[in-house]
Amino acid sequence: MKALAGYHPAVLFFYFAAVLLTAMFVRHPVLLAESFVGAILLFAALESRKQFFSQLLFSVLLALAVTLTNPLFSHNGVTPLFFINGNPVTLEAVFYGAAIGCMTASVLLWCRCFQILFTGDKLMYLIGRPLPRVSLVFSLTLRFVPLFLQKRREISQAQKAMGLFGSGSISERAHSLFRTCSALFDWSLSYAMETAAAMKARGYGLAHRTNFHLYVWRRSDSIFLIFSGMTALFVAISFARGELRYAYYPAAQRFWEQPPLLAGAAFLLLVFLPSFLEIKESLKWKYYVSKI
Amino acid sequence: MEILRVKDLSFTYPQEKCAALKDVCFSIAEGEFCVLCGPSGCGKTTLLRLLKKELAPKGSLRGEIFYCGRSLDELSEREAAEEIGYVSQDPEQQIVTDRVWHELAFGLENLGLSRESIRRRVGEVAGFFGIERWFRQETSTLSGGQKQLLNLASVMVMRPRILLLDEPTSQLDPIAAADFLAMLARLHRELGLTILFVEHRLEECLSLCDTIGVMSEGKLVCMDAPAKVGAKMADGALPLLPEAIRRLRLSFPSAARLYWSLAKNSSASCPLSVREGRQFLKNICPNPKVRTLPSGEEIKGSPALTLKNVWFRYEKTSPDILCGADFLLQEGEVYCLLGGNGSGKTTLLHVAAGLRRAYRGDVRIFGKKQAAYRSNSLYQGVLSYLPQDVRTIFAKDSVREDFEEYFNVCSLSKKEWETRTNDLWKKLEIPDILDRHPYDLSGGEQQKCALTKLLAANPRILLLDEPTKGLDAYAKQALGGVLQKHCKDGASVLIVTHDLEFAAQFANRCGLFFDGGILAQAAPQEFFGENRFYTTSAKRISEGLFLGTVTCEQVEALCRVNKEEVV
Repeated sequence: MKALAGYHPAVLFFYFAAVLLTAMFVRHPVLLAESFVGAILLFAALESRKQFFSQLLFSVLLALAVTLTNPLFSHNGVTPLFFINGNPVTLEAVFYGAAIGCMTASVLLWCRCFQILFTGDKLMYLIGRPLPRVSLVFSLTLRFVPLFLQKRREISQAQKAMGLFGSGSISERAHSLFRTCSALFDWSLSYAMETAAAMKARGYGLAHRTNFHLYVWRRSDSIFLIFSGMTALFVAISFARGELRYAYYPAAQRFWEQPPLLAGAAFLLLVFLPSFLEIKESLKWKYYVSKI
Repeated sequence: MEILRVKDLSFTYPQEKCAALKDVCFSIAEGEFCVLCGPSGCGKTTLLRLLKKELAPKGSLRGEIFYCGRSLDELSEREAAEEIGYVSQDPEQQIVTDRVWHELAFGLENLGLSRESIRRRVGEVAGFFGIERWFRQETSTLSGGQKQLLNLASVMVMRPRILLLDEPTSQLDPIAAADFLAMLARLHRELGLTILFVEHRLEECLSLCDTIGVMSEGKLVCMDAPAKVGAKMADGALPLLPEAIRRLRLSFPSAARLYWSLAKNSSASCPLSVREGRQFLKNICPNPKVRTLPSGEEIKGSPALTLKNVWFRYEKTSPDILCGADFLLQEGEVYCLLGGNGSGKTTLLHVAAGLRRAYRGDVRIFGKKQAAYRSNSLYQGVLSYLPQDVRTIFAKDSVREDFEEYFNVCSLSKKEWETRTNDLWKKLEIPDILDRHPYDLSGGEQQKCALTKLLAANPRILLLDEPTKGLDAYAKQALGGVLQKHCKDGASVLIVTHDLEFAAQFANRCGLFFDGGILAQAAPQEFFGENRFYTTSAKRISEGLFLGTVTCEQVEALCRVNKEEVV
C-alpha cells in the first residue's frame, strides 16, 4: 500500500491541482527545476523500477528534444553561441528551451503520479458529493462495460461456430458485425430490464436516498491539507506580487541576484512533501521488517 | 407465528388461456425453511414473484396474499423492499454496481440510512458472509459462486424477515452450489430466518428444509415435512396421474427414488439422504449374491475429433490452460468431460471448435487438419458448438427468422427443417415457439430451442457446454435420450458438464479434466465406480454392497436380480 493512496480523495485532488497549476503557469527556472526533481522523486517512489526507468528515459529525451529544437526556431537573445546557416544559436534560446522541456516533462510525470494515486473510485466519490445521481450512473456503467465486452466476444464466437460469421469480403464482414451488434442490442435491453427490476426489488426509487462511500477523514488528512494549503498560498501570494515573473529574453535574468525566496522555499516543501511521506513509510517498513 | 399466507391464489398471464396458478393455498410460519419443487413450467417462479411486490408479473389475479396478517397490497413500498428479500437465478443480472462494497451498500442507500449505520451493517454482513477478502474488488472479477453469494449478502444487509429464492444454485457448479446452500442453512439456523426456496434439484437441499411443497401444473399438490411428502409420493395418495407422479419423482434424491421403486408395501419410512438410503438398501438386500452388472458394450468408432499434444494459453505471459492435452472423440459416442470450475474444460471446447488456436499441437477433425477446413466449411454440417449462454446463438427477432437463416446456410429446405424441429420439439416437450422472441422464452425453453437449432442441422460432431444447466430432471432425461439417438445415427457428442448424474446415465465414456489435460477416462460404470468422493449418489448409496452401480436404474436392476435369486 502506498502511503499517499490512503489519503482522502479531496486532499489528494487539492494537492495535485496546486502542484499542476504552479508547474504549468510559473515560468521561473527555480520553481521549474524543483517541480521536475519533485516529480521524478515521487514517480520513483510510486512506480516499479522497470516502469520508472523507461518513463524517466522518455521524459529526459523529451526535455532534451525541446531544448534542442527551440534554438533552431527562435533566434532571440543576446549571447550567440555559434551560427547555423547564418542564423545564431543563442544561449538564451537554449536556456528557454530547457525550461520549457523541463516543464513539459514534469507536468507529464505529475499527471502519471496523479493517475496512479487517483483511481476511478476516488474520482467517482468526488463527483458523487455534489451529483449523487451522476455517480450512480457512473457506477452502473462501469459495471455494464466489462459485461458488455464479454458478451460481445461470446456472441461473435457463437455466431462464428454456427458458420454465420463471414471472414471474406468487406460486405460479408460488415454483415457479421451488424448481426453481432443486433444480438448485443437485444442482450443489452434484456439486461437493462432485469437490472431495473433488481434495483427496484432492493428499494431503488424510495424517497431520501443517501450516498455511501468508504472514505474517512483522518487527522493526517487535515495536517496534509493545511500544510499543502499554506505552502500553495505562499506561492500564490508570491505570484500575485509579481516575484515569479521571469524574462528569458533578450538576456536571461540573473535569478540568483534576486531569488524568490518565499515562493521557492514554499514550493520546495510542497513538491517534496509526498516523496518525503513515501520514503518515510518505506523506511518505517524496512525497520519493522528487520524487527519481525 | 404465521408470516406468509396465500389464500386461493389463481393467476393467468395476459393472452394465455391456461392459468399459471390454480387455487394455491398455503402458509409459512416464522422461522420455517420451505422448499417449493416441481418441474419447470409448473408455476413456481410465478408464485414466488407474486410474493415480491416489485417483481409481480402482470396478469389477472384472484385470491389473496397476506404478509404478517396484512394484505400484501397494504404494505408500503419501503416495507416491501426492506422486509421481503428476493434472490433470482442469474447471478449476473442482479448485480447493479461496479464494486463489491457499493453493491452491499446499494439497498441501504435506497432506504436512506445514514453513512455510519450503512458502514456498520455492511461491515457486519461482509464479515458474516466471508466477503472481507474481496470487499474492495470490482464485481466483474468475481466468480459465479461469489457473485451469487454477494447477491444474497446484499439482500441480507437490508435485514429482511423473509427470503425468497428462485433456483439460486441452478447456474452454479456443484461446489459453489454447496457453499451457497451451506450459507442458507446457516442463516436459517443462526438467525431463524424464514426462507422460501424454489428449486428443482432436491438432492442437496432436502436435508436442510422443514417443509417441502410439491407443485404440478399450477397446483400445489402437497406441502408437508419431507418424510411425509416422501410417503405420500409413494402410495399414490396424491390426486395426480401416474405420469405426473413419475415426473415429480425424478427430481427427488436417489435414496427416495430407490425406495419408491423397490419398497413395495414396506413399513420403513422414506429415506432422503445418502446415509438413510444405505440403511434402506442394506435392509432390503442384506447379502447380495450378484454384485455386478454386465458392463455395457464398448463403442469402437473411427476417430471424429482428435487433439494431440495441444498447448494453449490466453496470453504470452499467462499460465498454460492446456498442457499437452490429448483427446479422442469417436464416432457414435457421447463423451462427458468433467472437472472443476475454471480448470479449462471450456477452453478445450473452444480449441476443438476452432474458436481459439492452440499454439502447439495437432487438432484433427475426421482425420483432416482443423486449419484445412476453409472459410466456414467446418461449421456447415461437420461441427456445431453450443456455448454456455445459449442466448448468444440467437441474433434475430423471432425464433422463426433465426432458424430460417441458419438452415439456409446449412442448405436445408423449409419443409425438411420444419419436420425436424417439430420432431425434436415433441421429444423435448416444448410448445410451438417459432414466432416468439428468443429472449422472451424461459431459461429451459431457450436451452431446448438452442439445442433444437443445432441438432436439426444434423452436425456430425456436437460440442455442448453445460447443456443441462437450468433444466429440470425430466427435461434432462429427454435431452439425454435425444443425444443418444443422435449418436446412434453415427454422430458424436462431446459434453462439458458438472452434472455427474447426467454423465453417469447417458455417457458412453467420461473423462476428468485436471491440471491442463485429461487425467482419467473410462466408461461411466468404471469411472464413477472407482471414485469415492467425485461420484453419483446412487454409487454412494450402493458403495460396498454392489460394484460399479452408478445410476438408480442399475441399483434397482441388481436388487431385482438378487431378489429373484432368493426366491
